[in-house]
Amino acid sequence: MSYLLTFVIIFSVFVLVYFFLLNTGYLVLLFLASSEVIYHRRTPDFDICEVDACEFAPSVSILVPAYNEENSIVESIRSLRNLDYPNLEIIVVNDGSTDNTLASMKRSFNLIPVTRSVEESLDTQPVKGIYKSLKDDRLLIMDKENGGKADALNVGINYSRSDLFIAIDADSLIEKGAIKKLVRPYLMSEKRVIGIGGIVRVANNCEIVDADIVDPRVPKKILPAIQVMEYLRAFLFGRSGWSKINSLPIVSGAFGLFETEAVINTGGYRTDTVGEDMDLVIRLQKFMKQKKEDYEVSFIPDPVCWTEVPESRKVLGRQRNRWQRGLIETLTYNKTMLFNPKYGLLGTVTLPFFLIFEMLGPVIEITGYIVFGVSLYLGWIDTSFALLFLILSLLYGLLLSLFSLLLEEFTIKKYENPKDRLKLFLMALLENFGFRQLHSWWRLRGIIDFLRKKKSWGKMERKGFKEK
Amino acid sequence: MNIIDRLPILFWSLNNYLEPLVEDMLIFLGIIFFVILIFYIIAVWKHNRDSKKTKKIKVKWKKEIKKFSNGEKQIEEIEIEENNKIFRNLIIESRNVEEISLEDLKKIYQHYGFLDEDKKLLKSKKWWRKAQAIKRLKDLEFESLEDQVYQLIYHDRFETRLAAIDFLGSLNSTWIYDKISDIFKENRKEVDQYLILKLFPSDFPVEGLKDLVFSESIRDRKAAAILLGKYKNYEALDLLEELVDDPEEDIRIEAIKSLGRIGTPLTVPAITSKINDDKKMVRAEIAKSLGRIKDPNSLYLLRQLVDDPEYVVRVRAFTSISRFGELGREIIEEFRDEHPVSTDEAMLRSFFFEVEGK
Repeated sequence: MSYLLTFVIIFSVFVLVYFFLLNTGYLVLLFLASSEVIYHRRTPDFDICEVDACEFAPSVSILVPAYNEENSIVESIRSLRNLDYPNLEIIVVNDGSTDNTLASMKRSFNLIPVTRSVEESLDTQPVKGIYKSLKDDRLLIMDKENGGKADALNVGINYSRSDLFIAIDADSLIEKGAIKKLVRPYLMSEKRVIGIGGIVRVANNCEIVDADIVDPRVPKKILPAIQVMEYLRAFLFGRSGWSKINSLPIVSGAFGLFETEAVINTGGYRTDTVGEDMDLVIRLQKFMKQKKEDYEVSFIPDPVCWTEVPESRKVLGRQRNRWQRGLIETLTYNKTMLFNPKYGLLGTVTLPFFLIFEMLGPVIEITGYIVFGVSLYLGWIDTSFALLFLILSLLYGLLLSLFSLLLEEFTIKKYENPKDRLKLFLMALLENFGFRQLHSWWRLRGIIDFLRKKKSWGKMERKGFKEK
Repeated sequence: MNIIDRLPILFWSLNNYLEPLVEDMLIFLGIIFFVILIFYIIAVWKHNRDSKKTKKIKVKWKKEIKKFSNGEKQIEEIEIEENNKIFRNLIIESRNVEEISLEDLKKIYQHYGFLDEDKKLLKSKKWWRKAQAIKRLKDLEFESLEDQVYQLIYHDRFETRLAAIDFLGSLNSTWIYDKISDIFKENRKEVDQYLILKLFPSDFPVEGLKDLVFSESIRDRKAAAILLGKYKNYEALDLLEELVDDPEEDIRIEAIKSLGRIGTPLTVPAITSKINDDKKMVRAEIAKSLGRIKDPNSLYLLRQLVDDPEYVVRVRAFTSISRFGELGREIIEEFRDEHPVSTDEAMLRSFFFEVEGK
């Protein structure tokens, strides 16, 4: 019993220190994020080119990996064709789908088989066919053997002829004008910009007309509504903050822009991980640091990409499990960067923060719940102190959510209806009772699955966007 | 009593020691939380009210524009007494509205004091106020302020410098005609593409680029090679001929591209002077540029390029040949068996040239 008690005591002290460090970290991040978001609001909204000169705008390929996306792929391509960027190419990579993904594209876009000779800079699964649409010169469809999302993206990079590429998910909807905004830091930064992330928002329940979101709404169902709050916090508060100190460790796989040459030089996406987006951003920065070249990975809170989030607990659990495994794999593959001053703030602050608080967070949280229960049962814990501590941590979490909402309110303000904005606050409150614990459990399962060397992606169910 | 036995006591003491601290923190955070919550609720309420107000003002503004365009009202009689910023933004947003000319919008902007306010902001200590004012002045094309904006191309903050270049370039200001090389020197090479995009529409004379053409810096010469392509006659020819012989591959490519863009048969000799260049991308660019110029006399040169060992050169040569209509298609047919992949790609491109009328 005394060993258990010793463990409880040591753990309690550890939790106190952990809590203090985590919240100090968040507080610093909060200030950085506010400053970054304010900077973007202050910078005038320049159009990157006048009509005569738009042929000089950097060329951009949108890479859309598609695996069994027959429900959403046609609508996604339609929405991409509506984008107004001047030098655009859309490359859809059918990653050996077993459903009618390719057939539905052939039906809708009048595809003809073509050839395209390229220098295949990145190793990938074999390409079975290349198609061009007779409806749209910008549309290229690749059909390849199944090799996973990262492999599909690498095929897209091999066949792209553009300066920049944007990786998106097949179920993403990019707002009109978003690419021009995303490209802007590439043109207007004093440093070489190798990656730019935009904000990803939840599309469930939003009104879509002509493949564009016209009435952003917070979903009616609780689970996706809580995810709206989560995405806001992660993007507005998390990514803006890391971007401020130029050590952004992740650009979302659902909507991120990269310099093609830099990505080819670092070997493209890694195919043996489920966290290929984070891994790429970290390796890109590692490469630049090793070359001692000044660079920037930017995040801009304005260009928006809308995505459909899971509505069922089961699918969401699988997604979060995958995200957790992706994080651990990325940190494992790039472990030489951890606590390494050679990699600047990324190596000494950001990655250790992700290791200690993001990766190990669920272990500590779940252990905390167990220790709390046991100590309460055995009468070892001062109930009033424990209760105060719980309320304090809850309040701190709420405060961070509230700050994210404030940032949104004073900057981008996507949700016009005030009821939606207040509903988001309610979600921030509600997520602490059940969702947060469940989320930690899913992430803990992710850690266990990583230790069991599970590599699967996990089946995602998508309804696809339907026009209203 | 050993240490193990004393642990529960120690633990309780620690709890008791920390409890007041946690209590204080809780009270402190609780107060902050409620203050921010109230602030948030007020902000949501106020923004909602503002958004309704903006909608109303927009409707009113549209009516006022209509009355003004019908001659029922003069500028001084336009009644928008609400929030100044909303009114100011409405004026700028209306610059593409048919009912009212840009000149009239400018008069309204000036009459309601927004121009004076922007003039003051150009002298503000805050970089973003300057940059935002420049952007507004650019949107409404206030050329009269170019002398004041011109000073800002040397500003400390690059955001303000870039805003000033955007203004001066888009309004074709004569102030930058001899400052092109300064502009490139004042800014880092990472923004070159932006500078080119912004300076391209301006009508500065060829002489403005001389310094860049003969500069020792590769980035200067590359920028010159691109910008020289804006001249629609051959006044840039001499300088481009210099750059076609540049030791840097990128610069040769850009110079050939610019010669193609100028698009007269007179540029063909300069373009084809590099037809045996070691670099495949230079030869590929020659093939592409000849297609842009579409001079029947250069067809024999394109026929030479379709036998190039490099795929990229062949496909661009075939694509250019396909732009010569029926004659081009006949030539491609001759080569179909020999080069099935590159001729296929060229034919597909030619299909889109015709569809899009390029």
